[in-house]
Amino acid sequence: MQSYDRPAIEAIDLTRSLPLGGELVPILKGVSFNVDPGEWIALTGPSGSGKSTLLGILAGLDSPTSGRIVVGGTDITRLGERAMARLRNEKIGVVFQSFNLIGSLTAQENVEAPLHVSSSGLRARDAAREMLGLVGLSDRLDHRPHQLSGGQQQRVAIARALVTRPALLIADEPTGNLDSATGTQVLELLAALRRDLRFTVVVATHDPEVASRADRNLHMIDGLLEER
Amino acid sequence: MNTAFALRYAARNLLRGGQRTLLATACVGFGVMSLVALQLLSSMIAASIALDTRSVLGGDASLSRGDRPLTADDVAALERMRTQGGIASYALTSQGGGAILKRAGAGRAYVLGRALGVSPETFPLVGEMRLGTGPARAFGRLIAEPGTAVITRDVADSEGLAAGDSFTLGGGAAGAPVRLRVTGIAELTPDCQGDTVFYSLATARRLAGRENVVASAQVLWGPAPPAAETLKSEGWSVMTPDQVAKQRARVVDLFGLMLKGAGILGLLLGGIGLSNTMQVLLARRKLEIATLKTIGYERRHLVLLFGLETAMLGAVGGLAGAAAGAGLSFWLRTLLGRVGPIMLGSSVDPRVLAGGVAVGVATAVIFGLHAIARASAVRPSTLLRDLPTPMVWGEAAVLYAVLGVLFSALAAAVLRSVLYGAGVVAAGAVGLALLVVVLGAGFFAIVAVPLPLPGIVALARRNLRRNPLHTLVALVALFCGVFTIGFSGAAIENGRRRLEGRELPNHGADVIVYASPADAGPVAAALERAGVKSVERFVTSPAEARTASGRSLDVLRGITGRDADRAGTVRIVEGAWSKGPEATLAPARLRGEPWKLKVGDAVELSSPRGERARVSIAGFYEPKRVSPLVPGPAGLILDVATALRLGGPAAQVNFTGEAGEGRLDAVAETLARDAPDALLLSRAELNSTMQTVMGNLFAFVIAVAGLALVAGGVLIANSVGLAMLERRREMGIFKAIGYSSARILSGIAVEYALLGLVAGAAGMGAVALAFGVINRLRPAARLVLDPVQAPAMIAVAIVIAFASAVAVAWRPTHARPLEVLRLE
Repeated sequence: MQSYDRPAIEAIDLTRSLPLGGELVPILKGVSFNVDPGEWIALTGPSGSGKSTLLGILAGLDSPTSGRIVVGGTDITRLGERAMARLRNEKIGVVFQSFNLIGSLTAQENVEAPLHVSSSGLRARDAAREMLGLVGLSDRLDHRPHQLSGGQQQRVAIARALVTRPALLIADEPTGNLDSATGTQVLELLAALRRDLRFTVVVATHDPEVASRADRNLHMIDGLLEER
Repeated sequence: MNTAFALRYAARNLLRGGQRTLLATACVGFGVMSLVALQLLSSMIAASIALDTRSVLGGDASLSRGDRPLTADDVAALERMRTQGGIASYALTSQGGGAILKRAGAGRAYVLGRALGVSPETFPLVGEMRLGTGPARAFGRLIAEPGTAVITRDVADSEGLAAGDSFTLGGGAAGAPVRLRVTGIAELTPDCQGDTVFYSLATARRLAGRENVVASAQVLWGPAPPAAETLKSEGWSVMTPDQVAKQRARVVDLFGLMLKGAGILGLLLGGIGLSNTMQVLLARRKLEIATLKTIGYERRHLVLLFGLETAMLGAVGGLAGAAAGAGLSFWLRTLLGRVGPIMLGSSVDPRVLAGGVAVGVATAVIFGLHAIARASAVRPSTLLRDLPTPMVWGEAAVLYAVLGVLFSALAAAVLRSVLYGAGVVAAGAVGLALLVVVLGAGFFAIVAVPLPLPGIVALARRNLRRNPLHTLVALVALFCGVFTIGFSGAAIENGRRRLEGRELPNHGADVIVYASPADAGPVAAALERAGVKSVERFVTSPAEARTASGRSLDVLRGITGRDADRAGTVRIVEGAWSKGPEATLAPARLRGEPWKLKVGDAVELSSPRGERARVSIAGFYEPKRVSPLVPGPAGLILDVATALRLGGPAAQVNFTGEAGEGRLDAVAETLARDAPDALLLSRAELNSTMQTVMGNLFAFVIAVAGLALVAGGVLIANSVGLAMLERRREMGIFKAIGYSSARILSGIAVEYALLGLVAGAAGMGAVALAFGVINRLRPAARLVLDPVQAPAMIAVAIVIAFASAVAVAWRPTHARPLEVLRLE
């Protein structure tokens, strides 16, 4: 995994407004921060504070209304759709609270999916199997999502997010739909993978245990950021 | 992108789609089924009608003398042409030697399609006369003896006739009925026409009661054929296979265009249904699409994935539709075969089936384009919050334009004409658009008008307003189905009633008997014994007429002997009806060129048996059609005695009368016993062939029009499916506050029953309007909407809408509220 001299993430005065109820509501009101390569950042804050919105912008899923965001040296606010898609495929992995696995595919196929955008079947298959081995699911390759427990589904999601060896992993409430024991297991897995694969992690969470594992907490309140 | 992965993904999602995949497949299948069935039927008709025009014509050419029979001189001229090498061979044919057939011992008669007298030595010159037993070349021997006949298989089956059986043939313009013996049964005729009796020219002369019966000669050209202009200058009318081919090509082309055009419209409706369903299928996968974009899939990758999925769906639908279409084509062929005498061959062209599958794929991809484009535009940020997919109006306009062009190209390939293809699609699209506007305006005016209604109906009206596009599509489809069936059914029913004579002045006669002079007495006695009322007698005889100056009146076909005209079959336009052996009424057209006859002019009559009479014109008449049963006069009208004297044994004695309801069988039995060679025809039997034809035509048209109603049902199902998806959360909430599944389902059922009511009422209203316009433009049409049919069709529309909605909404309305609300 490459390490960067420059920050993994540079956010400069980000704002984001959304049309809600017929008017434009400011969600982010000027957010600026840096994240160093390899750091584990917890993004905390009450519901409606703008965590998911910020995460979406960091993951390249959404665009800010104003401001700049630089990820791995690339100013993603200027990227077109194609380049953004390539960035998401190669440089950024995303894990969601509700797993968002593709129901018609097996665990292995879900993990292969990002690789099929541009690579051959054999390489994708081997890489997926290796990654599923890393998350402890070598015996669940052919299971469909509905045949897996919540914790297993989240592990598949993590494997899918990391199969392309991205530099940045974004996780939105990764333990939100899991019981505490399973959630702890997932966190430990994430920590272990981060050690082995060396990627930067930004996690949005309400869970104090998740926040406690982070190197640094960024606290969102009413669209503004304060570091804790 | 990896192809194997893409195929796997597409196939798995089709299987996961469940009911929606089935609906989408059904839409494609329905469209392909319509097209394949009608295209196969069109091919069968083309094969039957246009196959080998020489066989249809009977040779290299058909020669005739216009509307007069060939004389001995004409036949001698043909013989001269043969010896000189102009023609290699010729066969003579007569037609119209009798149109009614009765099996010996039977009471009732059968109205035949064709009775053909032929020269047994040479007929047929071309084509195959396939006999049930014996070689084809035996045909001539089988009819050589006078009084023998070969009948086609359909007549044999219909009347229970076998070789060796006897039947009586007569009626129509023929002379006295004649008994014939079946000597062979034809499985296939040279021109593929059934419903026919073949006999020799000698028999034809007996039937007609005259010598000159030959209507035309089919010829094979010799080494030095005469030029067509030479023949025409000698007074011959010449018909060539090219002319027949052109005539039939027009029919084939018209039929083909109509059938294939209907198939294309079926495909259009199916495509619209598919487009709707694809929107549902892909709308449910918004999160999945957003996930794929999150992991790096671009819009083009998703277009490829969904395009592949849609193409697979189209292939499956196309396969199912092609198979169903082949089966449907056989059923339609059977129905249409009963409409006319043409023996339709049965064939399934594998190219049409393969083409059907290809059309299925193409249609699915074309109509799925919009849904695919919309789905692939889902933003990845949808995973974070539910945002509407951006609608780029320019892109939508381009998509619709592309869809129109592609589908027009598909239609052009099927119809083999760019003009027709684009025309059918444009007409269909414009028609649909107009319907959407007109129906939509009316519908929303109805659902928007404040009315004091029960809560469930008021709620139903409100819900129908929520998604206008889906509601309108379903409404239009159902309207089209109701209108198509309502219009065609009512039009044919009107035709059937007209044929039964209910519209014509009721003369009262419901039976007619054809007999020879020898049987006249027994027939009269039998009719009296059987209680037939108002019996009138008249005679038809062959005779030639000339003016006093010797000018032939060969335009006249025989004479009619009447002592009175209680039936009112003529309207006297000059002079008066005079009785007596020396008076005659002549057709009014003889006052004009070239004859210029006047009251008082003499006419010389001579019959084939050598009898003569001289009569004087007492007046002129125009024929009146009083009922389908009572024939109009043939030629000159004289008194009965003179007609009988001239005709002799060859005269045809006719009796009309009123048997009354339910007494026909008794009359038939009495006649069969007392005058077995007399032919009894009732009004019902006269029309029975046409009634059967009309009945089968009705069934055929309803079958084709019914496809539109099926499309309506499928689109209703789609509309409900979409609505269920969108209202899932709302239903969960309703359940959470105490609504039962039954109550929610009944609300949805009322919504779509209301839709069915509006579509049905609008459809039948449009039928009534169309009839009004037609009656105004063409008063003779007198089209009337049956008071029972309209409410019946409205009820059918309501039932279809109700049943489709309940079937689709059943499962979603029974889902547990917690599942639904948690998912949201």
